Amino acid sequence: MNKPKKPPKFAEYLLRWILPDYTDKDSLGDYEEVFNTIADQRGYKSALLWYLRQILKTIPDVTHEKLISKISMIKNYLQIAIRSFNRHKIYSSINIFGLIMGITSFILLSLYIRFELDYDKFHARSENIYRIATEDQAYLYRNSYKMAQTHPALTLKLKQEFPEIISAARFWINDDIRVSINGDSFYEKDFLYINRDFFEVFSFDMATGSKESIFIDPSSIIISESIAEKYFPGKNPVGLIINFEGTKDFHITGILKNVPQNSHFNIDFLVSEENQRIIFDRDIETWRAIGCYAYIHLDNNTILDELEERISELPGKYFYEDDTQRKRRNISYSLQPITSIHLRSDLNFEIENNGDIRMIYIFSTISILILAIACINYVNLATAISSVRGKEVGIRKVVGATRNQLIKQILFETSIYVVISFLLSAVIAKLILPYYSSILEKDIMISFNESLVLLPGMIILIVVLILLAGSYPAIFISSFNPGIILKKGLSWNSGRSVLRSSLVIIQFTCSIILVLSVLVIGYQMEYLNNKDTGYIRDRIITVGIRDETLIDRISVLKDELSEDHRIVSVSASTRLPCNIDWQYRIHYPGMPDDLFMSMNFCIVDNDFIDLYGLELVEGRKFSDDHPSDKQGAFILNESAMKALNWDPKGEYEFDFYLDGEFKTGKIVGVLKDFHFLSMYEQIQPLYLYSGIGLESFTPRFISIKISDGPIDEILDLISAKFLDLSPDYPFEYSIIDDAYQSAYRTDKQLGAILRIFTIISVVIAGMGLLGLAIFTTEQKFKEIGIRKILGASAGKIMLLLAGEFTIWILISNIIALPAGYYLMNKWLGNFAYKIELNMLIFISAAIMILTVALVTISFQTLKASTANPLDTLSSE
Amino acid sequence: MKVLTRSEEILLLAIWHLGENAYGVTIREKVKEMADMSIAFGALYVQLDILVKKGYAKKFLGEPTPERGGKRKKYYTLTENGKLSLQTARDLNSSIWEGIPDVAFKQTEQ
Repeated sequence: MNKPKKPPKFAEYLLRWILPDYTDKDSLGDYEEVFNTIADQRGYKSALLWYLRQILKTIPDVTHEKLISKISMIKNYLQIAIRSFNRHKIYSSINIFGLIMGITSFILLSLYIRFELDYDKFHARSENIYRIATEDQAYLYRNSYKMAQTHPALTLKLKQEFPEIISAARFWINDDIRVSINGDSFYEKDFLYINRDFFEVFSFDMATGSKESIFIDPSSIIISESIAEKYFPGKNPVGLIINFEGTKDFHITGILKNVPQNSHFNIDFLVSEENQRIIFDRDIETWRAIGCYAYIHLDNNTILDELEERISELPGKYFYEDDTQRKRRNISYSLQPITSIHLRSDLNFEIENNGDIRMIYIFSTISILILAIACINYVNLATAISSVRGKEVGIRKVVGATRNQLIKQILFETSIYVVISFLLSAVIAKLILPYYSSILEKDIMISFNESLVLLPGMIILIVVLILLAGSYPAIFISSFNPGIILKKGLSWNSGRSVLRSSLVIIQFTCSIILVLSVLVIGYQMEYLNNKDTGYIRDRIITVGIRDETLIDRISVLKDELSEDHRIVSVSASTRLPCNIDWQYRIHYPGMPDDLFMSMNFCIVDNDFIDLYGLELVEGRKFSDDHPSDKQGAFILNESAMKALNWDPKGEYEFDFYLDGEFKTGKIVGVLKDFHFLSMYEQIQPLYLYSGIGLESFTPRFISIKISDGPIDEILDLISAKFLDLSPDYPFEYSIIDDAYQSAYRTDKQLGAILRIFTIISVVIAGMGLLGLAIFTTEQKFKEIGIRKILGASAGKIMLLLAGEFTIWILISNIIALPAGYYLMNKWLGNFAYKIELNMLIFISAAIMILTVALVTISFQTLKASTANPLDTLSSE
Repeated sequence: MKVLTRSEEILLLAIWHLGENAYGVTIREKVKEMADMSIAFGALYVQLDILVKKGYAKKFLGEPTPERGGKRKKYYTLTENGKLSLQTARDLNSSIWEGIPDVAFKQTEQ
């Protein structure tokens, strides 16, 4: 016989685990003996197969028996758990309630975080899709300028030059277009002009029709399901006609499935990019303009840095005319993974407002803190109660329970709490989800099938919670020495209260930091909201203008509107003061000829500055009294003067490159800085250009300042005037303050969510404290009675009881305040305009928590300190 | 005294047959040989354990051998009670079968 062979270790373990408890490892010898026989006769492989088969065969024979013993054990555990629940109803309810709130919060926060992190992952090739971002130094002369868009010409070269680029999609996008269906006009957005590779790179599916159709005939259009539902409810729109801006008819050839909400851009209409040429006469192969978005699908093994460098060499190869241009322009491209765009990209010309990764960090931290606070409650109350349960444990040990069995029993009890809380939380979360989604305006609803995908995550969460909450109490309780416990009993203070107090301190440190953050974030938001934007937002109505013919009759419209006495003044401009995001090239004498500078700008009429109450620090407004304004005049803001190093009092000129030629104009005034972009950003250089006398002045907005009085009547009047002059276009207005507020909407939503969860965390921590307070006073009932008999006053006794808690909370404050200061200072660092962190905020956070804690425990201490000592002492 | 079940009877007989060499592997083989039944070890242990618990058999440990990976054999042997039960089972068998000729089966087989 050869040297004996051994079956694999893992199989042996498996078998040992399956076999009944009363079989020991010697039984495995039987298996091994037969294993060896078979191995000798028919080889190792068949022996192994036999061995594995034995494992399977053993299961049905054995589990039945094993189950019965397990069930009786579980029955016993359950019984004990239920008894202990009944005996300690208050503590148990606090535990369950805290766990439910904690887990529910965790589920809701994680769903939101998951939604945000999942952006653009639905594309089958999302791992290998990159967006090309452009950095062009010439655009700002001094600073480089990074854009989400790129040169149309570049995208055409990509596939020929680089074999690792499998496909290169590009598209132009139009927001605010007028579509007419059956004679009715509407404004729509997300109108995309795409190339053939679009569907190669992105995974968007058709509901009906073919993707190719729009490339075969450029006057074909694909619409989204939601657009189809909106305009053709219950009908099949394929074959019908949509009119674009009153100029071009598209016939519908297909319907695109709605784009998932977690895509960083949405699609409502799709046409071929040829239409850029056909409709707008735009050069779609140019190096001279930016404007399309480009996404490439890369081969797996591409080295990104290298490719970025090589793509950046393309302008040198095809575009720069000479070396000086090369040196000055220095255009470079970078690649952004598509999945990181939503949370980490904040370039110029992003398609939509992106999210913020910092918010994700904040939310993840909160979700974990809330869970930790709930677990600490459990640990504290369970160990506290254990002093009462000491006798039970003592008896168990005397009767012969091993430490392992006790640990198992306590972990089992914990898992009952955790599992019940988890199931209830899942139900509650499911019920809250619709409201939660609507607050966040994100569709984070989750279907049953999807939640199955999360099952492993949930199981891990449950196990982690059981271990976090249960392991310390299990080890602690099972360590009791039965002899001592049964003889003397276990008092509340027997050791371990250091741990308990430090856990409470940790809880409150977390709570204070959270409260502090909410206060600071709240104050900061309020500060931004109330900060003077530098222009008037009160009682101003704005109307967008799309009708090209109306643009020619702007002065007629202004006159008509001004006739009514309730309308104070009317102004036409290309942008509105709350969002001057257009930039255009500027050039000034002394600057190299082929260079230009890009600056935010707005072309305005003479009434603009007065209507919005903008202040001048030097010079004058645009005016009819100065005929030279018609030849070109500029007003710069202070930041622009500073950026150019110009003296506000000096005389300067600008060359304004418009309609293919430079128009030179004097700078007639300097404007006090006002916030024409988000409050989060530093005020940028800005110039206003006088639109009067400019043939190509195409105002996009009319601002109307109205006097006091019912706004509806005035709106009716304005609407009538507009429809009178431009009957084909729907009248849509907005109130400028609404437009301003909407920019801060996401922050307000997130702020609201943050507040809710902070309150929850404070409530959970407070409940834990309440539990401990009830417990301590119960333990000290007799002591209090005796003290009272000996002459202690109710006040002294309250102090005795509340003293310990107060000290805990003071210590928490000492830890939390510096930590909170550090964190909040870091957060505020992201803002250009921010509040100063003052002591008041910190003191109020500290006082708030202290008050909550003292009020929570005061009922209990009050009850104890005012109780008649006779009752408490005779209660046994 | 309780009546043995059929499988208890077979197992006890197997142990009895094997004499001093009755342990997991041999018992399983003997059962296969006697009754043409193949049992998984898992089931065998459960049943043997029941026999031990009911007091029909007892087990003792043998010496470890190399082909068992250094594990010891667990031998089974009948107790007096077990032998008695087998005797009762045999008596019961012959008494309930008494007077039934083989012919009876031949007729029903037709």
